[in-house]
Amino acid sequence: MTASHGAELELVAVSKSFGAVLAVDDVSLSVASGEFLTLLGPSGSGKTTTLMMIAGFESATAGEILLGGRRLTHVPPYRRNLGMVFQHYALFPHMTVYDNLAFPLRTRGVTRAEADRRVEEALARVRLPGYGARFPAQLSGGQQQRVALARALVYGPPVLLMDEPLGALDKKLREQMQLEIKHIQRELRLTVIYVTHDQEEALTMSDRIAVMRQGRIVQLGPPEDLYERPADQFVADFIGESNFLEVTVRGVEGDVATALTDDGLDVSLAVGDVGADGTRLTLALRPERVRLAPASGQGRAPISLDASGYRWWNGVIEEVVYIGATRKYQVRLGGQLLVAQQQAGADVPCFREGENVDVGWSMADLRVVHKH
Amino acid sequence: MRALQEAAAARWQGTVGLLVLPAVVFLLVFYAFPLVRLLLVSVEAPRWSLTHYADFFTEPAYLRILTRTFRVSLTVTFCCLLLGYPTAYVLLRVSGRRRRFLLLLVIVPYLTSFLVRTYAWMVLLGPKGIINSLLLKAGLIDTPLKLLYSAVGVHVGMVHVLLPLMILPLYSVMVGIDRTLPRAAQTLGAGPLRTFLRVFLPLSLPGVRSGCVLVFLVALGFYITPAMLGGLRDSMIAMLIESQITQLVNWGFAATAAVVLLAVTLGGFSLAGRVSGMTLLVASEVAGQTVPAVTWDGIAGSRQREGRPWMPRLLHLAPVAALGRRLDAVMSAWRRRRWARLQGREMRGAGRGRAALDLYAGAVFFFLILPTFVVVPISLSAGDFLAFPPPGWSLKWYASYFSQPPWLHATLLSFQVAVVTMLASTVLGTLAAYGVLRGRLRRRTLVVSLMISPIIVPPIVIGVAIYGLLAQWNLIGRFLGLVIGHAIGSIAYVMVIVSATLAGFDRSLERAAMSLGAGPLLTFRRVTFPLIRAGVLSGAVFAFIHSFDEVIITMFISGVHVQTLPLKMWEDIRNQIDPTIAAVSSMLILLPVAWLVVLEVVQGLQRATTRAAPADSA
Repeated sequence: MTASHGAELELVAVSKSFGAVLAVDDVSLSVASGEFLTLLGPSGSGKTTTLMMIAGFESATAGEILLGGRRLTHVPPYRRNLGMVFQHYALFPHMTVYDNLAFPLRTRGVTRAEADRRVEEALARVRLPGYGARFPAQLSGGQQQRVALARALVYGPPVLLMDEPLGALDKKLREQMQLEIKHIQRELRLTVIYVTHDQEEALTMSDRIAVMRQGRIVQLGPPEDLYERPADQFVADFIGESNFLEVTVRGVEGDVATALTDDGLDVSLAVGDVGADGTRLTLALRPERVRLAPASGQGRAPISLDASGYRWWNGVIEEVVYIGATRKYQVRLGGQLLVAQQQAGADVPCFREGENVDVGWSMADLRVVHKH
Repeated sequence: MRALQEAAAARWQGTVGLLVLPAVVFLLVFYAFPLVRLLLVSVEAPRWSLTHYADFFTEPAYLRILTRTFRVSLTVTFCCLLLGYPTAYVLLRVSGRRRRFLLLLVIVPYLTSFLVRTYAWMVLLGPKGIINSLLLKAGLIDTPLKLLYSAVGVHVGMVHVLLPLMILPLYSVMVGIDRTLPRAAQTLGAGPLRTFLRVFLPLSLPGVRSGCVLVFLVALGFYITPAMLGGLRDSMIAMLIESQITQLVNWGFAATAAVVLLAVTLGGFSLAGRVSGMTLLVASEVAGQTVPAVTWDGIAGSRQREGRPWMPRLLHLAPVAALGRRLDAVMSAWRRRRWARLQGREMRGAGRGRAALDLYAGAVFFFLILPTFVVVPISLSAGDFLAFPPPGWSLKWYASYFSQPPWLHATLLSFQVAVVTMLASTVLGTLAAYGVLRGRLRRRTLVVSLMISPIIVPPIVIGVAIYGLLAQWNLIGRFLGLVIGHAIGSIAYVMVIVSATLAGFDRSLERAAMSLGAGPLLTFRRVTFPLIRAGVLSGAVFAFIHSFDEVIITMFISGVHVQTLPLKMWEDIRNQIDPTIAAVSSMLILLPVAWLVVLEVVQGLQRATTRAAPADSA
């Protein structure tokens, strides 16, 4: 692991079509040295195709890929000097762990003694020292994953590509490996392009996330940006969970706009880009930002605006789901059904199905995700 | 309660296991028992003497035949590998409809009658055959080359007949290689050659082994091809056996030679068992069904082999290791410089190697498919002899076929025998496959070996062995006798194909049916059978083809007056080569095509029912 610095990678207007199907559509992306960037999207969104183009297994129909400023377009995969971890590890079943790791070193003319040292070092880094003599089939899934990672790191590639590397592991192991990969990436200051469809994994590991849909990047930014300020309904729905409210703007007063749902629920918005009177909007509201309180017995919504900026409505609990750390409620507000998520704890009241409750949220938690 | 249920389940599995009985009893009586008798005859029981063996292994003439048999088989195996490996590799590179088409080019010859293919080579290689005519006309030679009735003819003919048996197992193993492994090698910096040598080749070795064992073993027992295309000095062991019986009536010695051949073949059977399974599987897959790649291991339950630990161990020999280290240092420096020079370099002229490979494979496909079709122009010849180009065109040889009662009778008899054999062996084979896979069986491997070994055991051995038994029961020259002789092999084909289909389908479907209250019979009728129907049908097709083409066993058990179509062809080829045979052959090469169409249609119907199923239940 000699090269300690990652290189930068740039995609310039890259497209890929398979016949009439446009798998990747004009994607531009610039990954900084040492950055952990995740391509996140549902299956068929073009994230794997993008990764395969970077690796050199698919050639771009248009656009260019640059590694450290050098064009990669006609460079075959085996001369790109990238590291790659495959979805099902792709460990050579007929070689021992040692031979798997030594393989890239031998192609690079590393002497046997030096190879021994570096293989042992890489195995130690993934916490599998002394496993060199085993065959991949003799390892558990988690261990194979570590070996695959060690093999992709042992020759110090400037960029590491990872194609859903944790997909085959169970939840517990996956979470543990996420932290380990992140740790190694920071320590070696690696540039990582990571492909996943698991939004939680993307949020946990990435410096930046590129959310892809139908071959395009719909939003690119740090995890917090994506979660707090989703660019559209797709992102708001794909990353985390969201309640969506369809409203129509009915009057602006100072910096507050009034908006009504179709059945007359009155919600207020900070005036940003809500548009003129009569504009239809889709609003997103995260379940954990919806508060529930014992019913105060007052009239139809909105019942009040409290000191911390929360507005409250009357609602009825329709369904309760207990998930350990939290409880999820389905609450009816007039014609709207909302999901509310509350921490479970001694000081948090819990509600039963059919119970009347007050439902509240802060104006600041409503996001406009679509203007019709 | 629970114990009761478990006991019931065990009893049920035991009962299912009994389904193998009909096939096992049949094969014990008509296959295993005659082979044991063959052994006894060879040692002259009850006098017990090894004189025949002593003769066989001391007489130089016999030893020459034995060594020639081995030599020819080895050469043929090697040629098949040389032609087959790159071809299978190219099959892997193409995709979709093109791959399907190219696979058909392998399967169609495989399903085409043995006799027809060998006859086609007589047409090609003869002194006035196509190859000699072309060479003479081109002025490359003055006198015709002796291609027919020579070692050249034997080798060419055998390679042509056996090549599909090499390509299919190679292909099925190569298809099973995880596609990301070569890719992984590339991201790690290995170029095409290194990726092939270090990753692809080692992983494809099981296919090489299977293909070679299969081709070699089948080649050992070859009779028709060397007899038709070879000269007097090209006899192989099967011809020795035949001549000992038909010319010298020396049963003891023939039995001895047969036992030797059998011993050698069965020696390789432990390796070959899974092979034949896989080959047929690919064949049936191409013939229109999608079965996941199941190896015979899944059926016989033998254990998976691990890597190759002997490789590093060999290198631990001290002097070798020292030399290795020296070499390694030199190579390392060279590779380091090369890597530095080439890293990030763009690729140029990469397509040339691939084009050469495609061209090679194209030539192999040409070799596989085209020779068979030369029988068509010959059959339309107006001349009386095999000549190329034909002196004129006419349909008289077709007329000759349709006007001669012996030809028509032979054809009718062959159809009748094949249909009855197909029905009987499909029932027995399907029951047996179900019993082996779903029941609890003791000695499962032994049972499976008994049932599928007829694919490997040379037909000449089976023919010699069952002759005695059928003669005793007065079944020689009888319809029933022919069916019995043919069913031995047909059951094996059905068994292999059906078990592969059964092993490939989701058992939880059967469990689901039972949990919904369906009894074993209802489950089989409504769930299992509809899902394996395509497999059963391809099994039936193979059973039919086996019987319809069978000539060697038939030769022994048909008696004097009864003639099947292949037997009639075989005798005509030996006596007079008039183009009536070409006409018959031309019609016969349409048969596999017809079968493939049938399978395709059945498969289409099956897909349609599968798709319609949710709509039905809604």
